[in-house]
Amino acid sequence: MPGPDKPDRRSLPPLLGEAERQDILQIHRAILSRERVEPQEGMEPAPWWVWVVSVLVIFSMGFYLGRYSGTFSTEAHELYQKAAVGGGEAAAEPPPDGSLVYAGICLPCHQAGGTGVEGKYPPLAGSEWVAKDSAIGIRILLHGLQGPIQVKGKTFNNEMPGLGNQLSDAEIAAVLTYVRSNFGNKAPAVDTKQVAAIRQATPGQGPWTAQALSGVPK
Amino acid sequence: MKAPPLEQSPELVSLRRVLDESAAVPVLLFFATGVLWLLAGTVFGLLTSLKFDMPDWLAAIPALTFGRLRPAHLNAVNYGWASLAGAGCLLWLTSRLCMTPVRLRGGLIASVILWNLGVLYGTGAVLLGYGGSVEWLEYPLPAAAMIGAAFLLFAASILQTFRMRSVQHLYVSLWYTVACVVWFPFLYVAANLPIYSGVVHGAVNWWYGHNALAVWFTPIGLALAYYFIPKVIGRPIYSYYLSLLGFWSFALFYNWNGIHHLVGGPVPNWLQTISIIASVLMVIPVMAVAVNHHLTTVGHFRHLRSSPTLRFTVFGAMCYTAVSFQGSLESLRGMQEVVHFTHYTVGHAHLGVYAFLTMILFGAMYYITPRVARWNWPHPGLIKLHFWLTAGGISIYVIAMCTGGILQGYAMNESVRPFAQVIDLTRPWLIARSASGILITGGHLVFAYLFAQMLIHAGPRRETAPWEEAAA
Ligand code: HEC
Repeated sequence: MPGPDKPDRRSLPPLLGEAERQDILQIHRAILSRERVEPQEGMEPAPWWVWVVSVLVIFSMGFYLGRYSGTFSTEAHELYQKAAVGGGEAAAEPPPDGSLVYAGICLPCHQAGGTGVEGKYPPLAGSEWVAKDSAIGIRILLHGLQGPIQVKGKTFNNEMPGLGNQLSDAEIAAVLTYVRSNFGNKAPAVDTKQVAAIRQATPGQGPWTAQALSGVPK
Repeated sequence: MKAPPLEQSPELVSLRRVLDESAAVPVLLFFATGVLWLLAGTVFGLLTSLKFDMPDWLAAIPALTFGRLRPAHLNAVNYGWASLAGAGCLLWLTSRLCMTPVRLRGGLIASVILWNLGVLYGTGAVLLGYGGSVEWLEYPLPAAAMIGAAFLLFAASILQTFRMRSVQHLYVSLWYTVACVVWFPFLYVAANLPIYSGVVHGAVNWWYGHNALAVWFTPIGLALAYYFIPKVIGRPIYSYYLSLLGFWSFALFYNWNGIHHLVGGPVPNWLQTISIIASVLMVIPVMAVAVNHHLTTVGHFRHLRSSPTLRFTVFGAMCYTAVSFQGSLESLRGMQEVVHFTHYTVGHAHLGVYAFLTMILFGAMYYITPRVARWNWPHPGLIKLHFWLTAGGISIYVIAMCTGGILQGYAMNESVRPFAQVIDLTRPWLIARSASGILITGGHLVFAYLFAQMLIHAGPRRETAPWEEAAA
């Protein structure tokens, strides 16, 4: 049994000679001698403001709980549905934001700023197709477009998918209005009713070609 | 203020020797394997960081792709380095504070072996593509089981040593130590149960991820800071009442924090709200600890020049205050709208696990290693180099990631901004991060070199403490 005066031999490397062993013990003793007292608890009072801040934080978090508990419902977005629930009748759907539709749908192809991509996706900025009658843009968005097309003097030959199944009439109107009044374009807004009318008039229509669109009735 | 005298009566020195000899072998094993994982984890981390700027580099080797290197880094540094080194420190600390030799040493050797096999198996599995997809829990079940069993052996030793204590009063470091070895096994087992799915799994994921910090890593750091600051300075910790307030509010609030990682997600709002509240309430324990440490150190800052232990520990303790206040703010909904899913979170995590915990672990190891290896640090200058490389490196890291993260967050919130542009915007900050990673890697190499010399008693035989003064 190792004791205060008999160091534990097992804790020393086995192959050492006696002199080295003594040397290590001496170093250890020196290391252990340059220590201060084991830490103890002081009994100073905590500064008063620590308690004040603690109480203030607890109170303000109480208010926060009241404000944001969302009635402790298991619905994930209870907090943000309040307005609709509280208003009794379902609030009218807000009009869709064209810039958001553009960012979510068109941007990967037509790029920020409507610049398009050389040889792949035609520009919307300054495009004569955008500026033309809104009936054309609506058709492109509803059913898609394929085959060669001239935009700002350059020819593109690619495919744009129809978005009629994905976007509502209001969204199509909103994003076209956005495109027609941004990126340097200055064409009038598009009406949701016109989108609905064209959707009704062209059931089962496949992707358009540039040629077919040129003969579209106004 | 005059430094209190050293305590060097022959009886005390002999008692310390008995205690340290009992701790020597297991502590050195925990430390040495921990340092190996630190090196491995550092390499994984640096490669991960470089990939942000050179995405195609090494992309042909599946094991070295981003999706595997990143979890390998996270798990190696947490379950390998920080856990092993932390466990070694707690063993030594418990023996010293209970004034009794370390018990169940055979179990501890088994624990080190099992622990390392678990981390090796888990990290290997992650690199080979068998890792799971739940952050912090990527290790496959067998690896987690090994680590869990190793932890139980370690906890048994701590508790048995604690039971055989020959002291009346329990110093605050012991509260944290005993609490964390009881808390963590429950957490680890509960989180690894294969019974969750869907949204609940997400919630359990972050309940675990944040609690790994709350009930394991942070108590290690605090126990060590509470011990070494007064120990090196040689005066009592300022206020018992602050210690009490700090510990109990910590125990009460911290374990509710995890769901703030899911703010804005498909989790019931009240759950998010409660975890935000708990995160803000963390102001109370953090303030108590910070004030307690500061009022203990005040008037003694010159020891920072003479003691590597104190310099690393005070740096870590200050970063604890910083990272906690940052965390309280970060949990608020308004802040989350900007910084969620940005590099800011990564900066925050490193301020916690590195600038706080790892720096304190370094400090503690500078104190403990000479006492268990029975050799003086051979190259005092290299310790300074280690400090400045790591402290400088992590400061650059955190500043770069947090600034870059905020810019990134605002840019991502502009819905029409192309994503590629946002990536370009973060690029300089990511390059700064890689540069800081190189500094930190250098620091770790220096530390590993020093530590290896301590293990084999290499380098010049020195008679004195590493820096100028006695009590280091
Ligand atoms: C998958 C990629 C893609 C998406 C998404 C897309 N487009 Fe297109 N768009 C194209 C391509 C390709 C063409 C040219 C087709 C051709 O070559 O015949 C085109 C042509 C057009 C044209 C006529 C040519 C021009 O440049 O003026 C308009 C107008 C247009 N798109 C508007 C939109 C709008 C508005 C949206 C979003 C609601 C959108 N596109 C979404 C690929 C896309």
